[in-house]
Formats: sequence, structure tokens, C-alpha cells
Amino acid sequence: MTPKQLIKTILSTCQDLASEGLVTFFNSQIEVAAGERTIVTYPNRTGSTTRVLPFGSLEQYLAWLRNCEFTCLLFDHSLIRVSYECAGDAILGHNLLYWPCPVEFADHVDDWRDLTDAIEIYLKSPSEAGEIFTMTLRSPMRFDFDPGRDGEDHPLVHLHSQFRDTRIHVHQPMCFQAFIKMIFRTFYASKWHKYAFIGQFHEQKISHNPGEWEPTAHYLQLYWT
Amino acid sequence: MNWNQDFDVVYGSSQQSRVVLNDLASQLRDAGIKGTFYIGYPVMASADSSLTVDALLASQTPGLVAFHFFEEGQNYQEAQDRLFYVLESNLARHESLRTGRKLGVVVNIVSIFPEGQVPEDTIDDYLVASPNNIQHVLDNAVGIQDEYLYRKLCAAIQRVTTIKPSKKRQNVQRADSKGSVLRKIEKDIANLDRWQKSAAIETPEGPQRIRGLAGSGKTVVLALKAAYLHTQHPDWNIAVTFYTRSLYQQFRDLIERFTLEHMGDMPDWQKLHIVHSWGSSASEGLYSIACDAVNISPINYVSAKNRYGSVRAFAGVCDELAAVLKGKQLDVYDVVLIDEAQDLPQSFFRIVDAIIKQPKRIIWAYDELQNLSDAGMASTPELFGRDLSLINAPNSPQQDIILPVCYRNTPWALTLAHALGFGLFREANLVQHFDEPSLWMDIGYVVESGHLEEGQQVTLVRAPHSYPHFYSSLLEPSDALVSATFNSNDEQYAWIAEQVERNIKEEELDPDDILVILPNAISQKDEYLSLRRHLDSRGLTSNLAGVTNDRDIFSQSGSITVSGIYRAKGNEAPMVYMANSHYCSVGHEMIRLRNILFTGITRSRGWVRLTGVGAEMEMLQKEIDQVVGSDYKLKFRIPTQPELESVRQINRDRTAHERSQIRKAEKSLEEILELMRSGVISPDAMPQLNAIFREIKIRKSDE
Repeated sequence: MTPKQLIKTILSTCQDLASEGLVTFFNSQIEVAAGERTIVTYPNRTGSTTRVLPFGSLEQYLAWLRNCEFTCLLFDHSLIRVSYECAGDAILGHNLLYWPCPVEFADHVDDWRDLTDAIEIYLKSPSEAGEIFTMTLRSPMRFDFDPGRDGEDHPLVHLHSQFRDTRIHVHQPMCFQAFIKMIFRTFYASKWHKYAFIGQFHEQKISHNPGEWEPTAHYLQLYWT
Repeated sequence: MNWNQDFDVVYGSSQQSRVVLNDLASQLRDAGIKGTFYIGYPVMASADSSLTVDALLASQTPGLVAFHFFEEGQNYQEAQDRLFYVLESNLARHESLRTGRKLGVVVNIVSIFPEGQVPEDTIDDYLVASPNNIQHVLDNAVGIQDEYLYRKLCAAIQRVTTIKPSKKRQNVQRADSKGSVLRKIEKDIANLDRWQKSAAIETPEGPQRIRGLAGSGKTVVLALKAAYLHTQHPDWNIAVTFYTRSLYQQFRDLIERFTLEHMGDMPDWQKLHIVHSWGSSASEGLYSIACDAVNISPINYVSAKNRYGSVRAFAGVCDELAAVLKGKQLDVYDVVLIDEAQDLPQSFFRIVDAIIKQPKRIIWAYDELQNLSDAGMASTPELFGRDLSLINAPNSPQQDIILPVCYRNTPWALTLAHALGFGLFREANLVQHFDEPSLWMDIGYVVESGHLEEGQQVTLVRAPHSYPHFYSSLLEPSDALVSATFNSNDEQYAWIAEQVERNIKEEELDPDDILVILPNAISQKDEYLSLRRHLDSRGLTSNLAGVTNDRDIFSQSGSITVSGIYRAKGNEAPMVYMANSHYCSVGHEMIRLRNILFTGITRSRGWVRLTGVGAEMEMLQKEIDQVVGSDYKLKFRIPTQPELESVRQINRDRTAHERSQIRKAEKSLEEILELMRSGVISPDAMPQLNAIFREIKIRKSDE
């Protein structure tokens, strides 16, 4: 899959989800040249400034939301950010983040600007935000496919969760549709059953070790070694 | 604009006696001099010092003259030298005022002595006069022959050229492109007009109201005024506040530029506060500052919205605070300047009134027509809850100023905006109208025929002096204003994307010259995604203002701005696409809907494209055609007061309960229609339907 095809696929998947209200906003992915490779990623409007924020911190979630630096925002304000590293039509790496909304509101909040306002209030004065929402402390999950750094402490495909340096071995890399399927099947079972079209998203094989690829089962699989 | 037309006096603050200065102004006026006479205007400064000139005359004849008032024991020649040096060195910084290595304008200085004390043995270069022989002395001053040089001098004195720098537009190659036209327009808007000068410089000892159409320069005037007062009174606590968040950066830039040029230094932000009216958790606002002053916790937006609903959220919290502040006098500020006052609740003014020192220098600028709700601007006593009148006394700073010239909009766009905003050519009744018909004159119209009286037919046209001359010479009405109706949203967005691409690639506009407005606040994100698909497919980068970028930023270089109507307020762009205009064509809250249309159209500095979909757009198109077909003349009948009351009632904003009732009724009607079509119910069996028809008929005949 070429970078342009990949961008188109991500966009059309987001549009399909948005048409059912499962995604409330999405950005167009962009191409960024990296030597002979191309990174397909979300718009990065603030450069590296938000990357220095602690992994999984409320400040980081707030900054990405406020600057609209994500691929798409789910109906419950959970955030999805994906980047793929491509060369020609091959996918050489990925970085797929699913960040469940870290707060739960007393009332439904339509506008994510209200959400950022509320989080700002919390960061300034936690007691004041008590009447608006409760913290759920759900950790972000980032699935990395990073062949260049494959090693004993750095599995080829791994999951970051809770801690920046925790790498849980994951069976195989995922295309965008497989990632979306995994999210809905694992975390939103009722939606998964209600919206059958999600299960029908066409998946692309990402060859990370030719000959060993198997169809994914769309739920989180962890292989411990 | 005829630069030699009038003699204007701008009343700033000066140490000199007002009587003496007024007398000097009278003498100059009586001498037939044309120009501007500044009293206490801080026109110039050197790099390391600032100076207020008591009186300065900018004219072609007798030229640029600074007046120095002799004080006992003073060496008048030294005083003149200092004044001369400061003025000349400052003016010489302006390239356009230089001729070769020299300043192209002669700085004349006249020292005024008390009667009988004028020195007799003077050197030629030092002009001296007594209050009674000023005219005679001015014959020796060196005037400015070149009108172009004179205009540049006026711009330099007023600081507008540097305060509002125009884009360089280096990509412009063709003389006939839109980019080229824009370059000419931006170059021409440099000087303040006489009304703007007064509004910016004159500050009465008490409240002041500045009324003006969209694009009449209210924000620039308030920024200049804030900077002027700050430089004149560095110890004063001054606040500038507003409704639209993205105005923050605009105010900061304007005030910074002016103060930097005038004082040679940055403003002291500890004394000059630019604050949003409410504020957020991250930044303070005037409301939260007032809360701090009485040691109560400010209510945040999310809580307020839960408590009062989104429309009344700010009014609700202001009402609460105003009740706490009632009868209190807290000396927090010396001056408060309020922009977009039409959008702020009445109780906000009472809060300001409570936290400002005597003599209550509250300055508020507004445009009633830009209000996005149906609430009219309250009278001054209503605003402050006390007896307060605004007086325009002769030879004094004015308390009630109208800015009648609209620089931003073409006369055609503005006329259309008024016609649609008021619903003058709707098939149904008009939507709204001024209580006082004479306000049409105040906002720059003249009566071509008929009478500007209640119940009378009238034909109004934009007065020639109400817009800059360059619009007629640089733009064609047929291109300045285009409207189009489409069968579907997708078709509409495809057309907009195609036009935008042409604007950039062929017509030499920059992406950030283009603004697409989406009028429906609720659906704007979805609509943006649909539009962006078409923009993306043409490689056009866009931002949804305040959503995909920082909420304090409106437009970004290299990107087309798409914006909801609330965020677009207070901002402008040369090319405006008012998409989904049909949203404002018909509905239950017509005042709000038509004000949205008015606000959207008046964001344009050059070209407007009104687009929409379906039968509702076709209805709006008919109204547009009437305005265009009548050559932008507004021919209509002025409503009587009872009629006005009736349309206000019909077109008012609905409460949440009423909205819910309307939604239910609409749904029931749709169900009835569906059941009739499917043969389940017969209309004859439902007498209620006949009752509805009868009611509609009666109402139509009443209209």
C-alpha cells in the first residue's frame, strides 16, 4: 500500500465511522518525508513541544486534544493517533495509539472544547472540577511496530501501556482497519455488535516476517516470553 | 477622500488650559485653514523619550506647525529646539516623508507668549506670537505643496500605516488579478478619518459610547485609544475587554505596535490589561478579576452552561456577580474599554461600573446589527442601572461618537447585508427594524425618495461619503457579490473548493485571504469534514478556526480559514464564502438567523460568495435578486411601532421549552403528512387541519 493509498484508506474508514456518529472529528493524514521513507501521520501543529510531556499524563491528552493533533476522536472523546512508516508500497513500521478518555462526565458533553475547558479547570483546581467529572485513570495504549530496534527488551511489535518503558510483546503489526476492529471489539463490544460494518472493514497484510503472517482475530493478543 | 475639506479638532489631554487651546483652534478655523488640529496628541517621540505636544496643526497650508506655550522663566528657543528635534527625528524615520537625505516636510514651531510679553529680538527660524497675532505669524511658516507628501504626513502622525501593516503580496504578478486589487485597497486604507481620530483620542471625564458599522474601525480605534491613554497616564490601570476570544491577539498586536513606536518601549502589561470578558481557567477575564476583587470564586464556563444553558451562561454568572457588587465601589481600574459591547449582557456593564474609579471612564464600542441573538442594545441608563446621559458638548471630548464610514465592506455587500439582515424583501413580513428610522442616516444611507418616517415608503442608497472611493474604481458589483443555489451540499462544497482553487491559483489570493463561514454552530464540524474532503482533493490546506488550531488564533498563513459564525465575528477576510446561507432563509428565530447572515457577509473586505442548497436558498436568492435588480437601492415601507412590536414577537429567540414544543409540532406535522400520503388518514376526518388552514389564511390576509 503506497502512502497515498494509506491516507485514502484511513480517511474513508474515518468517514464511515463518522457517518454513524462513532467518530466525532477526524483530521486528514499527511505525508512527511524522512529520507527515502515517508511517514503517514496526523497533523503535528505544535512540533515536538507536546512530546516532552509525560507519557499518559493528563497534560499530554489535553495538549493533543486542544491542538487537534490526532487522527480521529471517538464518540466518547477517546483519541486515536496513528503513524505509519512507508517505503514504496511497503509498511516498515507503525505507531498506533488508542487513548480512552481519561475522565467521565456527570452529563453528556458534546463539544470537546468543553472537555478541554473542564480538564484545564481540573489541572488548576481539582476540587472545582469534582462536580463536572470524575477521573477514570485509564491508560493510553500504543502499539509500535519497530523493526529497526528489534531486540530482547524491544519486541518487534509491542504495546506501551501504563509506563513509557513497558513493552508488551504483541503478535503482529496492524493495518488501520485491523487496529479499529481491535479497538471496537475489545473496548466497545455493544457497538461492535450493533455496527456490523466495522467487522467488514477490509484488512491489509503487513508483512513483518514473510511466511509467518496469520489472520488477526481482532482482539488483543499478548504473547509472553 | 478630500484631504483638504475640513478643519477638525481632536481633543486629547493637555496640561494647557482648555480655554486657551479652544481659542487657538477658533482662530485657525476662522483663518480658513484646512487640516487637523490635535490638542495634547502624543504624536512624536525620540528613541528614548516621549513627548506630548500641547497643540499640533497638520495642514497643507501653513504646513506642519507645533505650538509651544511659553512658561515664565523658560528659554523658549531651547524649548523650540527640543520640540523641533523630536518631531523631525521621528518623522525622518518614515521613508515616504524623506526627499533625498532630508525630511521632505518642514517642521514649523511657534511659541505663544502672553499678550505684551512677545520678545522683539527674535532670530528668523524662531516663530513667536501672542494669542492675537497667530495668523500673521503663520504666514511665515513653510507649507506642504505636494498633496501626496501631505497624506503621508497625516498617516505618519496617525500611526495607522505602521499599526495596520498591509501584506507584501509578493506573489502578485498580474495587474488585473484579485491579489493586485487587494494590494491597492490595502495601500489606500492608511489614514484615520475625522470620526476615528476623535474616537481614538478624545476621552471625556465619564463614559463614552462609540457606535459603528462592522468595518468602521471600532477595534483599531479602541486599541489606539488604550495605547494613547497608557502613554499619557502610565500609572493608570487600564483594561481592554471583548467578547470574541480571537480578538486578544489583534488587540495585543495593535497596542504593542502603537506603544512601541510612541514610547520606544513595550507597553507595561501590568498596567494595561487585555482580558477576555469572561476568561478561562488558563487566563483571567474581567469577570474573574471582578470576582477576585470581592473574594468570591468565579464560575467556570462548564458549570455555568450546566446552570444557565449555553446561550445564557455568561449572562447568568454576570447577573449573580452584579447582585453581589450592587452598591459597592471598588477602585480596580481607571479606564475600561469594551469592544463588541452588543454581545455582552447588561449585568456585565454593572460589574464594570462597580470596579471602575470615578469619573467612571467606561468606553464601549458596539454595532447592534452584529448581535447574534435577538436582544437589542440597551440604553445607557438601562445598561448601568442608573440615570446616565451622554452629552456631546461643543469644544469638548464627545461622549457619543458614531463612525459612519465602512472601510471593510463594499457598498454593495453592505446594502445586501442590511436588506437580508432586516428581511426587507422577504415574501413574509420583514424581520426587524430600528426603533428610530433616522438611524439609517447614521449608518451611512441617504434618502433618494420617499420619507424616512413610520408607515412611509422610502428608497435608501449608500451615501457617497459612507465608503471609500476605491471600491467603485477597483471592483465590479457583479464580481464583488455572487450567489449560487445548489441541489445538494456535496455539489455546493465541490463548487466552493473549485472557486477557492481558482482564487489562489489564477486570481493571486493567498489561502489565508479566504474565509468560509458555516452558519450552523451545531453542525459545523460535520459540515467542515464534508467541505474539507473537496478542499483536500485539490491539495488545499484548511483549518476550522478554534477547532483544528489554537482557539486564540483565527487565520494562519498558507491555510484557508473555515469558521463557525461565532468565531468569525470580529474577524475579516478579503474573500468570504457564506456557505449554507439557506440556513438563515426561514425559521422560527428569524432575528438571530438574519443577524448571522448580516455578520457573515460583513466579514468580507472585498468579495462575497453566498451559497446554499434547495428551496430555502431559492427563497433567499429571490431577496438577493431584488437588491441587485434595484441597483442596490433599498425600497421598502418603514414599519410602524405596533408592526415592529409584532415582528419582534414573531421573530424573537425561543426559550428551550418553546424550541422543544416546536420540534414536537414539526414532527407531528411530518407524521400527519406521511399518514395522509400512505392513505391511513383522510384530511376530511381531521377538522383540526381545516382549522390550521383557516388560521394561516387569516394571518396571510392580515399581512
